[in-house]
Amino acid sequence: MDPLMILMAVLCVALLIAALMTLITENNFRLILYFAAFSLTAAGLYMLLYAPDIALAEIAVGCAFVPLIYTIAVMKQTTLNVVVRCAGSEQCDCYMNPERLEAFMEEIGRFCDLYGLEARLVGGLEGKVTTVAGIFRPSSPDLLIDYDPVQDLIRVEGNENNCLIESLERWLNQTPGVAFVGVGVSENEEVEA
Amino acid sequence: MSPFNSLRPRISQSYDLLKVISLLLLPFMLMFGLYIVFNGDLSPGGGFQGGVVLATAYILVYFISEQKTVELSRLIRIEKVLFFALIVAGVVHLLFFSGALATLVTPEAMRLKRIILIAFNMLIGAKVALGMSGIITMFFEEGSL
Repeated sequence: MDPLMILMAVLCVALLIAALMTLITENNFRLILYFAAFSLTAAGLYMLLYAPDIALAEIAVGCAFVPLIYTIAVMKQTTLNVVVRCAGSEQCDCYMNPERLEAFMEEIGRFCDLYGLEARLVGGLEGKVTTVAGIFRPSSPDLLIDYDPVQDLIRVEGNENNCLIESLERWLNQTPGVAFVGVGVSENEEVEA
Repeated sequence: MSPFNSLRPRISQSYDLLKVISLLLLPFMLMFGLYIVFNGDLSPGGGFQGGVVLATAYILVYFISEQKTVELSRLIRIEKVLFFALIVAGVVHLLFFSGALATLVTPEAMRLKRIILIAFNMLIGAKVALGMSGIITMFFEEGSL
């Protein structure tokens, strides 16, 4: 068999893997890296198919320029979106006290002032289960909160892509009545307030 | 304890590394971009690809520079002038050079064709480089234009 054909088949498989990983990954910076890998593999395929002009353009644009723009876009986040998990879902079946929510948002706002951010309450989407991860999410929340009436506790779930999430966790652990549950999709951890 | 304490040392550490690597890489990137632009009629490449490479070199400098004072409006104005120059050059080429030189394969005609192609590539490269740099600069300083 022609070694060029084998190389092309390997590149095709790598292209598929890179495209799928771009779709299913949950980390924004890793997504950019997968996209760059996709562009590089596509450029190699163009080169094997005797289109060096297109390969050069693909490398220059898809591998250097577009990832740079995406990196700046991820870096330039200016708001901290907070979403209240909706009352209709099965995880939480009661409404939160409005004063309690206001106090919590004030606390978040004091944290955001340190970093030049702006805390914003996006509001839960009724009838839909919201997550902080995944590429097909309706909005991009950084914090997902729900209220536990039994222990009078606000459970906070953070988005792991946010680079401030560790300092926010430290900040929230000192606040009474608030429990930081974890990042990403881990919801089963029990954290004492 | 201020939350900035945990962030500050990490940033300054990686900053030196970024600076040195970028400055090492910069002349090679500029050379490669100019090579692609000027040799675009003979080898793979051309105005667009070389322009993007030049824009990437500019972005490296922009990332590491301490004071980010780029006159964005002047950049955009030069780009607009280049755009019109490109259109005018295309029309002039179509009117005066294309018909007479289409069938000639003498060495003089080939040399003239090469000169015309290099001029076009230079125009396109400059326009693309300025445009891409403008996009990135605008992206950094949102709402300054």
